[in-house]
Amino acid sequence: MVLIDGMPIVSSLGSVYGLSGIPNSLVERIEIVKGPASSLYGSEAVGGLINIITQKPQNASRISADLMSTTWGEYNADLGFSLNAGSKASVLTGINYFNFQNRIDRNKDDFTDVTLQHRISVFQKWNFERKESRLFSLAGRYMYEDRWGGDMRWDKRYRGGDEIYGESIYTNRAEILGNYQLPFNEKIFLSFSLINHDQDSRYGTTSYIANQKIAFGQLVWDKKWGRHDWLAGTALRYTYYDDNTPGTANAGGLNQPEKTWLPGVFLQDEITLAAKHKLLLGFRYDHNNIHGSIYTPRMAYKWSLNDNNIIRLNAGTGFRVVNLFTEDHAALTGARDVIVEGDLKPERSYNANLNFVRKMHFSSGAFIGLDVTAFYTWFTNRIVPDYETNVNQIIYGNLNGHAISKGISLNTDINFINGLKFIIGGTIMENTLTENGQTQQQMLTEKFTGTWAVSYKIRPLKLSLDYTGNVYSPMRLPLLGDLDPRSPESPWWSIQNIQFTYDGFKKVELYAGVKTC
Amino acid sequence: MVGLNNIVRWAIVLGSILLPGFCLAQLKAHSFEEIEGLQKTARRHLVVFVYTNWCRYCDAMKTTVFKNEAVARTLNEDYYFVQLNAEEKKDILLNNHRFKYKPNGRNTGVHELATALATIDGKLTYPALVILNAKLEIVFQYSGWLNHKELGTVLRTVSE
Repeated sequence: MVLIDGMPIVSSLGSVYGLSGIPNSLVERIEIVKGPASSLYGSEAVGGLINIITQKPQNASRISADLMSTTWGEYNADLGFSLNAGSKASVLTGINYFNFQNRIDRNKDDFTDVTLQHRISVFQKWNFERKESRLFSLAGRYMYEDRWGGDMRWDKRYRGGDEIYGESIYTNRAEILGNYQLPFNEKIFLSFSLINHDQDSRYGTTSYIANQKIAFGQLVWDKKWGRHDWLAGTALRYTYYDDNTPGTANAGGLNQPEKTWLPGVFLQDEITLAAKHKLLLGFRYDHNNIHGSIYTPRMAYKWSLNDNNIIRLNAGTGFRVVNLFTEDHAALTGARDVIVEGDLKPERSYNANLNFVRKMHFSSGAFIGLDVTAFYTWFTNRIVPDYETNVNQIIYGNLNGHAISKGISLNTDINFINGLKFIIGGTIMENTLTENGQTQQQMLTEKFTGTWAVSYKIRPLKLSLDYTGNVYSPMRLPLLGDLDPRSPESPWWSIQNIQFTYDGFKKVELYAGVKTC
Repeated sequence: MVGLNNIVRWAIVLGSILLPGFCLAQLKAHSFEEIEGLQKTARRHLVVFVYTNWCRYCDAMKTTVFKNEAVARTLNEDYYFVQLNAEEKKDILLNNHRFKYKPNGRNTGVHELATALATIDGKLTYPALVILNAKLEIVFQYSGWLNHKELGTVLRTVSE
């Protein structure tokens, strides 16, 4: 789940757009909370939280611009503005424009290899000064995107037709978020978000037109009392979802949009058991008018051996109502029929993770950080697409069995004072499905993934070098049958990027690089 | 027995005289409230270290530079040292002015005193080292990592 300065963006359809539209020049830092935070934010926060913290108004430049283009044909522009609106308010504004219209067909199959996109997004955040330094922030974001892929000869006039195949999606999305501290001595905060998301898409002649409106409000009381730090609150989410598929039709076949009310209450206590031990216990209760009661407990234990060695144990549950058509485009594209078995029940997950963090500071100023995490998640009612039973169909159903995702992740951060830095991470994991006693690796999941960033600043030349990359191990791919000539496994795959940045000019930085695709 | 008691007593007296010399210099950090009172007894410059909990170089300076013997001794003997968390939520009263915390999000914001002391060329970055004279006028500001030698040089130069 993505938050902006602690304001939650509550929306399932739009989670892919969480980070977009906020230019880097307006970001101070990004905080990541690993492990389930569902007791505070509900089912959206099953995997953790990403909190984007914007620059303090005095630190953000009045105007900043970042322009980039690649030989691949991508053009990106990010503009940032920071203003004071009177003595009591400050505004941050960001505009992002991205254009990629280069039709590429490397494998010569007459279909585009990469999605063509055109996107504009505008972000604005207001901060108001109030009595007793109480918080009031209001942010808005708007995005419009036009993306397509398909036959190399396609263009707009063939949209929705049967002459030349193309998939085209127009997305229109508006969000308003806010955080307001109530005018009492006690710390009580009101967070809210309002979202409207419109998708107008065509997959050949199949059309998928959907609209989702979400209104979310949450009241949180933050109370410290002796060794206890309590958070208590109540939340209400209203979701309106309508599309032109049988997913939103009643028994008579007439369109019936889905309206979900999700009120909830939660309580969390962070107890300082002893100087080095903290225990967090949280519980949330939500009631979904369609699926009934949802219980989300959470536990977190922190043992600080000392300032530089910390062990954490997290456990919790999660709940996810899945919208097939928006999340799995395979459902709409391609030649297979989509079969949905019965009523899809929500997915449930149970997660535990153990984490060890070690920091080493040296008197030269060098720093080495180590972060090891072992995780285990058990899913029931997992909604899985079955590509294998019938090659002409994708059959969706709640898994009659369970799915497990488990692994170990190691990340290290090495900083030398001469300007050389390393960030290296790797995860070994197993994602399996167990049905009727048989266990198999899940399709489209990797067993190993690695990522790295090596940076060096040549100070006298005012030149920085950044070498970044990631690597993925082979994944099982869905085939049409024994005669499908394609490989059942993807190869080892890696994207790497080398970039040079020159910052010798006073207000301008130049950067150039090479990237593999 | 009396003889043994005497030995024990001398050991305790000698031990309490000798032991402090073997302990590492403990850096004494004050609070802003104490400063006014302290200045009345001995007028010294004030060294303020501005940091945040998420700033890695601030952590590095706290665990290595400020634990250095020579630095700790200079700060204890020639200055009054104060650590300021730039995201401190409580009000601070200094020089008859009340400095407050300014939030710009849930659990994020900046304290007015940090802005007042450590803004350099319009920007506030961490870690920041600020030195004020006894009249609370800013005489030195630096933002960024300083190793113990560099900090030692700064401290010796300013106190002259």
